[in-house]
Amino acid sequence: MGHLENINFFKAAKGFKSWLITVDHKRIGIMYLLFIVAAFTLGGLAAGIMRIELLSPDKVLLTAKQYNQFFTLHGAIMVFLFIIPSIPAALGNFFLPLQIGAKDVAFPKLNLASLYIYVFGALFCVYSMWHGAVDTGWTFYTPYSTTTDTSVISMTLGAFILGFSSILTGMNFIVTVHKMRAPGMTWFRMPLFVWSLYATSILQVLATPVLAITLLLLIVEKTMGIGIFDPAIGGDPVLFQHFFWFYSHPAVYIMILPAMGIMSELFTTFTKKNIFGYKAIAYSSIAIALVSFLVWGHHMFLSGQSDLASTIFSALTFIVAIPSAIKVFNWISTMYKGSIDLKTPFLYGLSFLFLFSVGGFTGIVLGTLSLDVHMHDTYYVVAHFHYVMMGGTVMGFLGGLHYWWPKMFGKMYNEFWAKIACALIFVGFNMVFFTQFILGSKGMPRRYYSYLDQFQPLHQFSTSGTWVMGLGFIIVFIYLINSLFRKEEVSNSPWGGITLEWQTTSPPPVYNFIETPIVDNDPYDFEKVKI
Amino acid sequence: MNKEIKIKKHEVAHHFDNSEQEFNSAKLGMWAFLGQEILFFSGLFVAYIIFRMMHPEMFIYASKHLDWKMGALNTVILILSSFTMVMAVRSAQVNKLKQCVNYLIATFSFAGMFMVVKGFEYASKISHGYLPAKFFNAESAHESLHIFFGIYFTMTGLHGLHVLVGMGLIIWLIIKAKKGHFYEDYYTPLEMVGLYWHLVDLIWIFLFPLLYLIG
Amino acid sequence: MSKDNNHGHHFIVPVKFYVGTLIALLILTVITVAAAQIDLGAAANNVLAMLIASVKAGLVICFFMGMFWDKGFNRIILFSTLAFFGIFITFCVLDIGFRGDTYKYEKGKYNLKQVVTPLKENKYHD
Repeated sequence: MGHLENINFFKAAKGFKSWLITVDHKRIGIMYLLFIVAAFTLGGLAAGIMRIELLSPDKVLLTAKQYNQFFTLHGAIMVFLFIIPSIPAALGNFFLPLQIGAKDVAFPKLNLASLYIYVFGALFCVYSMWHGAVDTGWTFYTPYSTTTDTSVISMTLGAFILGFSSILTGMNFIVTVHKMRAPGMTWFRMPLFVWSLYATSILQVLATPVLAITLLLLIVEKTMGIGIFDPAIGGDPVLFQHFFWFYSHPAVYIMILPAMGIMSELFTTFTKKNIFGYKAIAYSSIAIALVSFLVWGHHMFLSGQSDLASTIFSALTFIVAIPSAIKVFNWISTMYKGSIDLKTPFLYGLSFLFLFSVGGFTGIVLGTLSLDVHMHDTYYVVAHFHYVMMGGTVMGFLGGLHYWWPKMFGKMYNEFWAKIACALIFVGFNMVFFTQFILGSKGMPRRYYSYLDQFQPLHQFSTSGTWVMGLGFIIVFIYLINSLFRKEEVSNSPWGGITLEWQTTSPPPVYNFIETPIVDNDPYDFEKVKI
Repeated sequence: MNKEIKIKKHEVAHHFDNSEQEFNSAKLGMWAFLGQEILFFSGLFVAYIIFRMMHPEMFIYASKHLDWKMGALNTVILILSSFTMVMAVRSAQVNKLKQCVNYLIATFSFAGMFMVVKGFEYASKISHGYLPAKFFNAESAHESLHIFFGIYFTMTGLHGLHVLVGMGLIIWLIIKAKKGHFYEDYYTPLEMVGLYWHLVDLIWIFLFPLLYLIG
Repeated sequence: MSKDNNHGHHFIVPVKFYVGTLIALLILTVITVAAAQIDLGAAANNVLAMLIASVKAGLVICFFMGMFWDKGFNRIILFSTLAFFGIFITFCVLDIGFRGDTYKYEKGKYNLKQVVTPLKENKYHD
């Protein structure tokens, strides 16, 4: 293997087939990235079309049923095909082994298998769009999902298969973190992105199987009638919601935790300062992962769930705020007296800080039992979770993508256009979703095809925001692709980052490091390590 | 098959430092997988508990329609198969390659017997019309009886599916073991499939009293 | 890179543990069946059956699956999955076992016949 050691992984093998059978975690990460961007585009287009429909309370483009199908499509694609795999499967796959100084993940073949399983599951989802698209919402609540004649089965089967891809990735990461660390890389010398991926993996392994069994039971219920979810044959539809949210609430943290990990990386590298409260951030990742299992009932306050359960769930929900706030305060403290460098990745980092905080605070509002009675199923909820999922995860994903782009491809993008795009996305996002807080608090219900005339100006403003945001994404796409054709190569560490991935070449060699690195310092010790 | 099986040496994969690390990684991964299997089945157990809570008398009534003798027979078969499985692993550990193959074949046969008994049980339920709601076709003192059979068929069906997957894996092991891939320094696949197989046994240990022995 | 093909010092379990486990499991199976034939009251029978099943499961895990001699983290995985199963069932029971308690004493107070008036015609815009 001697000659492979200093060739970068793009050039090590040539041809389409070498990508299809690769077991290199970096190539697998890049293939995930391609699929994820495709899914994001598809889901984004669906959202754009929905927003155009909402320009007027009357019909613009879609019929009411098509509107239902579009928001289901948007939700299902964004959740199952985009957000959940986005950071762990694409960026995580690429950088987890690099950051802990390993040659690869623990099970490289399994890693490739989970990519194929992902694609296979995605095909089911695409098929279900063609074949009587689902109109249940991405939550597939019974009894509607057991009675509607749209393609619930193929969509749930798709999500079921995607779940296995997620579980296998999680297993792989847990073992990688436990067994593959470089010499000297103790648990508390791991970069915080690794900690967050580790916490995410725990969630993936422990929560996703419950989604799998839920969807499987739903399929069996629809085809054979077990009688546990369908009230027409003696089932309990609220039990379905319990099953569903036992997975899907932790899934929210599968989405946000990796983004939080990226934040820790950005806040140290772009302030050139050791992270404030390393252990607090590391432990809070694990705490979030564990507490996230205790709060799922806050999605069901108005479902007819017992008041005892609702009260307990409401109280537990507030606990999640504590570890999340620990992280936010630590990032802010990290900036104190740092030499702040406002490069594009860090701008996304700061956007995350603002938007995630807004999302978090409104989450407290919704977790309050008495307030939720009024806010439930309004645009307030829609705005809240978009602030967390998009303002949090997507901003984190974009921040990470810009931060690591030069490492992945060895090329730097245009900083000027990147800043413009970041500003457009930030402003556009707030135009779309801050408006929806107002709409929601005025009583505009979610998932409605039409609305009262008085809401029209706000809806139109919200829709115009999607165009600003869309423009931002188009610019990102153009300059990132353009950067690949640039001549000049970047150095090992263009931002001055010091975690292990910056100590190898850009792009890295096939086995990541020419010599296995030996670690004898904290991950963000800028005093000691100079690159 | 009379001649002794020759050992084929195992090579450690490129990204591991040594076989110790490789083995421990595989084992940790397998336990994580078993963890997800447990939670996968937990959904069924939760459904069982909730509906038993809601319809206690119906469950007692329904359980009488299952033949506990068949259930007990299957329990014994699976316990024996678990035993032959660990013995197969142990034979590889002490380099008794031929014995290892024989134990694997025994395990496979027990698994087959389990499925045959299961098949007889299913046939009798189906012929009496004790089926999930959409196909339920029997007289009953309880109008919710179909729920028990819905749960019964899903639980035992998914468990049976796991047995079938296990049988497939054991065939793969038999082939590899016959070629001499497993010996004292390398028996990872044996150990992993073994763990999986014990989990299948474990689930049945709970299914048996829960479904067959109520009241 | 060194490629030593040794498993280090793997502990090989003596056969007596396996045979002992097998016999214990078979005996416990007989006890389960026997216990089910005696009527101790539904609750006691259930508890007993589950107790025996748990002991059997413990034996399989400890000896057949080797947890008795195994690394610490594998145990943590097992116990945490069981803990999460516990959380799952606890909250579901907290809901389904306690529904409708709050308004128990107010029955008849409001006497609402029809809360929601169904729409007469389809108000969709298509």
